Amino acid sequence: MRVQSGARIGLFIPTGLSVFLPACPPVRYNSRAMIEMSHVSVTYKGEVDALCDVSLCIPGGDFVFLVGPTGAGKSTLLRLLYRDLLPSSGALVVAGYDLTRLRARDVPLLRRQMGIVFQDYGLLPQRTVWENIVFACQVLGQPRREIRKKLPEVLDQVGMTHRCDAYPGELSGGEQQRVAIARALVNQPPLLIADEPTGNLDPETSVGIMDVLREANRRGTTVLVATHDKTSVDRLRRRVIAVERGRIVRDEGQAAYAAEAIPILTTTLPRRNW
Amino acid sequence: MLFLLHEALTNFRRHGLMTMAAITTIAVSLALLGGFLLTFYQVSNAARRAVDAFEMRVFCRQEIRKEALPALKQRITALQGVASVRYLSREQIWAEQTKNYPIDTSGIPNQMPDTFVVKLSDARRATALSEEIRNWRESVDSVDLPESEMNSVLRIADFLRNVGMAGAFVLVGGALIVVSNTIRISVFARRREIKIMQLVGATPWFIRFPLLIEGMLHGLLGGALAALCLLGAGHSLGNLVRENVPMLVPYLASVDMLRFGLALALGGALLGAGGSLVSIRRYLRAL
Repeated sequence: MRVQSGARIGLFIPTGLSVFLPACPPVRYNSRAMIEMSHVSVTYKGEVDALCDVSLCIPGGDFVFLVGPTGAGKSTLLRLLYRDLLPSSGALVVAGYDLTRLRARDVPLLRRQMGIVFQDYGLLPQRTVWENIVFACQVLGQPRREIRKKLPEVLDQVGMTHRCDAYPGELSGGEQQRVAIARALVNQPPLLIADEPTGNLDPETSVGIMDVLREANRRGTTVLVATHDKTSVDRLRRRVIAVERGRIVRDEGQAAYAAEAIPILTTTLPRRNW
Repeated sequence: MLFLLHEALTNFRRHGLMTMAAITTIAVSLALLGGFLLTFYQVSNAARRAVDAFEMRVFCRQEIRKEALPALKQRITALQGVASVRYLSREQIWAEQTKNYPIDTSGIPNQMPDTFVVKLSDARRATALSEEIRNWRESVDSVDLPESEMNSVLRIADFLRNVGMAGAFVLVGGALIVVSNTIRISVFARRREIKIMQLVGATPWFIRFPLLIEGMLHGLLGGALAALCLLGAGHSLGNLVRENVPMLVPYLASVDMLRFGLALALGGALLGAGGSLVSIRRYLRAL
């Protein structure tokens, strides 16, 4: 369910395709908060607490690192955001959609508001770089002319123009991740979620990937990156949210990977005014 | 819509090996099913013709008046289970006998009765019919029915029908399982693609449609391939029988192979589409 109302997205939808595309409700990104999570808990099979009473607020245009050891709940938190998982309790609003009340048929609408990047790239091996990125536009029913116009821009943005005819199997890990980021960014979503995007990459390549994400953020996209990449976190000095055993144990602006001063141990952070 | 159709057809090329495997598996299972159905049809048709070949003969009393015969014919025709009644006059029969057995029949008067040859539409009622007609003592002398031979053939026909039904049931079930499993495997191979489509915001029908078309084409091509094989095999077998076992020819039923092949291909398409829809459902289950 959409919380805000406003201007309609101008998508070209030919008659007869309506069954393939959900009716577009009014959409506008006028909220300052891109993600609002309030007292969210996720319990698996009624026993294991994957997330416990988590509250956080990420304003539009922010760049946030989500750090913590393996199994701390980072991926669970991200899966909540793209509605791959429902919270057991609490309130969650992403890009204006109240995810606890969102109908299953409206989930595609939510996902069009975000780009998602995974550690294993998630590219389709039988399609070229160009086709992989085009795919993300075609599923939204965008006209070919518009796609042809914006693809070179996004390929240029991630530095992959020269490999647009290559298949994923012919690319290095770093190049594949750049393509995945291009696919996530091609529809200019207001939110980019990256789950350990440099997990399979060497430190030097990781720097390049983080720079691509930073550039996307500079253009106005809210970026949330779950990572173990200490070097990048320390180099970029952005907001860091640390998760341990399903709870937020630190939330600092311009911070390093590890807590530098006395850690702010909070389980339920007070609402921040952004 | 054009994009979705293009996607479905392009995926044929992209997943060539899987496509070939799916089409041939479907073709083999449908060919087995179709071959069995054709054989069963031929055998049961032959058994039915064998049963139909039996006739009942009703011999009239010697003293019956010629004027009473049309009424008797009508009475027999009106009975349930009678297909047709043919009248043979005693003169006709005697003429034939004297022609066939001139020595045996010379010098003796015509002993033959007026006779009705009765074809049955329901062989199972033959005994009951003969009993009923035998009771018309004022005009009927006796009834001749090859009962034991007829019952043997009927038992064989019944056995063949039961075996055929059971076989068809098992084979239809088997074909359903094989085809839906084949489609399920081809959808399973695409689960990554389906997941990515979901994550970039594709609607369920946008994801479903190309896979549905693909499943349908797999089934259609598999069915068509099976029909072609059966057409060739049926033609060769028919020629073999005609050349080597001509006595079986009257028992061969003509089958509209074009219609049968079309039904097999369309059946395959339906199976493919249904299998696709069911298989995709589990990957599209949203929260």
